[in-house]
Amino acid sequence: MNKPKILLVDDEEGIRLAVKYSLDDWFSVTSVATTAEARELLKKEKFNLVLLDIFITGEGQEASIETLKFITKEYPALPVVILSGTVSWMQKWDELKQLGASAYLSKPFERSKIKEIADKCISGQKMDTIW
Amino acid sequence: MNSINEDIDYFKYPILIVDDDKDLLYSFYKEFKDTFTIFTAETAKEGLEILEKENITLFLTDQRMPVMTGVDLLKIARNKYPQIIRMLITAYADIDVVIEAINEGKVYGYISKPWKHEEIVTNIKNGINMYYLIKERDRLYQEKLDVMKRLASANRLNAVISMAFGLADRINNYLVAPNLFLEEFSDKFKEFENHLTEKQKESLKNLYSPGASGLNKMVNLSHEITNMCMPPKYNFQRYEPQIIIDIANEAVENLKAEMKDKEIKIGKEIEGSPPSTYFDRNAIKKVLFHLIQNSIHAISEITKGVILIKVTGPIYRSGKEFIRIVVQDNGMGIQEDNIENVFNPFFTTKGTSGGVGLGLTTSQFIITQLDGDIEIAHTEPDKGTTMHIDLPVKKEPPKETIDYKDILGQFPAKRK
Repeated sequence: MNKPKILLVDDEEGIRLAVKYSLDDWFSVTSVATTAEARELLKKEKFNLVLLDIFITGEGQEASIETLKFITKEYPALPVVILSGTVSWMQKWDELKQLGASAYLSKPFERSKIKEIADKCISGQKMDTIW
Repeated sequence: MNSINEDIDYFKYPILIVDDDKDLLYSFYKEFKDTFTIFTAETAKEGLEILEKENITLFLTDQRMPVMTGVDLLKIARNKYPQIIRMLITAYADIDVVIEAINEGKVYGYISKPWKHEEIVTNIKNGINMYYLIKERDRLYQEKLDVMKRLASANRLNAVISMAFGLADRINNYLVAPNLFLEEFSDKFKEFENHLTEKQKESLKNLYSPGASGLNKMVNLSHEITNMCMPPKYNFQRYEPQIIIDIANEAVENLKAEMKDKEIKIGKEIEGSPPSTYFDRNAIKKVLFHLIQNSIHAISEITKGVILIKVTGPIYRSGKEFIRIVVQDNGMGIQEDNIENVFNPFFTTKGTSGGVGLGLTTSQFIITQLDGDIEIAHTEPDKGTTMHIDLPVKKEPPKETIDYKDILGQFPAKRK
C-alpha cells in the first residue's frame, strides 16, 4: 500500500529534512520553503495532508493565512495542520479554525505527536485543542 | 514677587510666630487673626514642636530669644522642613544677624520691629504665595517625571517583548530537528544496541543524556520566555484586599518545597483601609510567587528569616489612587551594583539552582500591563529588601494595555 503523501511548507531547512526522515516509515513527505512553491505543487500533485508553517521568512504571516484560505477553497477535503514556533498564535487558534485549519502543532514537537495528528487529520478528524 | 494672588484662601495656610515676648505674640495674634490662621510659640523648642505637628506654611521668628536664637531656629527648620517659608523679625538694626539669617537660614524676608500692618500682611501673603508656587512646581515636576518614567518603562517593555517573541520563535524552530534527531537516535540505539561494543554503548549513552537534558532546558527556557510576555487572557474581577492575603498564602504554599525545613516566619497583614479594585488573580499570584521566592532566597543564609506581606492604602500619586502590596524581608539585601539590573531579563544572583532570571522581569511585565508600578522601595546589605507593588484603584475592569497584533507585526524575522 502506498504511504499517504504529506506536503510540508517551512522555510527552515533543518525542519524540512528532520520531519521528512523521521516520518519516513509511515508517510511520504515532500517539502517546500515557500507558499508560492506549495501552491504550484498542489496544482500538480495530490496530497493527503499539508503541514503549514504560520510564519514563513520573507513572506510573513499573511502569506500563510492566504495559503490556508486558498487550500480550504480549492481543496476542501485536504486537511491543513498549522505549525508554529510562536506561542502567541495560540490565541488566534479560533480564527485559524474558522479559516479551515484541522489542527495546531507547537514547535518543537515529538515524532509520536506529529504522527498521531497526521493520522487523525488524514482520517478526517479536526482537532479542537492545541498541541 | 509683589503681586498678591487673591485666589488663594490665605486662611488655609497656617502660619507660626515665635517670640519670647508674650505681649508681642498677643498683639500680633489680635492684629492679624482675621487675615491668617495663626499659631504662636514663646520658645524655639515650642516652635519646633508646632512645626512638627501642624501643617505650617510660613513661620516668623524673633532673633533675640533665650536658649536658642532665631537664626539657629531658622537653620534647624531649613534642614528639617525646607518647604516652609522662613522669616526673621528683629528690632535691632543688626545687619550681621540679617546677613546670617539670609545666608544660613535662607530666609524669605525679614521684618523690623515695630512693624507696619500693611507691610506684614503683604510680606506674609507673598510668602504664602511662594510656598504655593513651589509646591505646585514640585507637584508638576513630579507628575512629569512619573509620566516620563512610565513612558521609558513602557518603551523598554515593548522592545523586550518583541525581542523575546522573536527569540522564542527562533529557538522553537531550531529545536525541531535536534529534538526529532534525539528521539530517532534513542529508538535506533535500542535497535542496534546488540551490534555495539560495551565501550561504544557506554560512550553513546553518556553523550545522549547531556544532549537530551540540554535540549530540554532550551525547550523550558523558550516556554518561560513566552509565558513571560504572554500571560493567559486576563480575567479581571473586583477583589477586596483580603483576597491578596489569600493569594499570598497560596503562593507561599507553592513555595513550601523551597523553604525546606527552614524556620521562616511569614507575617501577613492589612494596614489602613485599602479599597477594593480590579485585578487578575492569577497574575497577582505569579508576581507574589516571584517576590516571595526572592525573599526566601535572600534569607536562606540567616537563622531567623522573616518575610512580611502587607496590603496598605489608599495611596495617592499624580492624582491617582493606588493600593500597595509590600513584600519585605530581613535578608541579605540587594548589592548596590545589582539594583539597576534586577528587573533585567536573565539577571540572577541565585546561581544555577535558581532558574533563568525571568522572575522579576515577568513581574514587571504583569504589573505594568495592569497599569501599576513595581519598585524596590528599600534595600540594605544584610538588613533586607522591601518591594512595593502599587495597583491602581479601578472602578471598572481595565482594558488590556499591550496590543499583541502590533508586536507580531513588528518582527520581520530573518531566520537565515
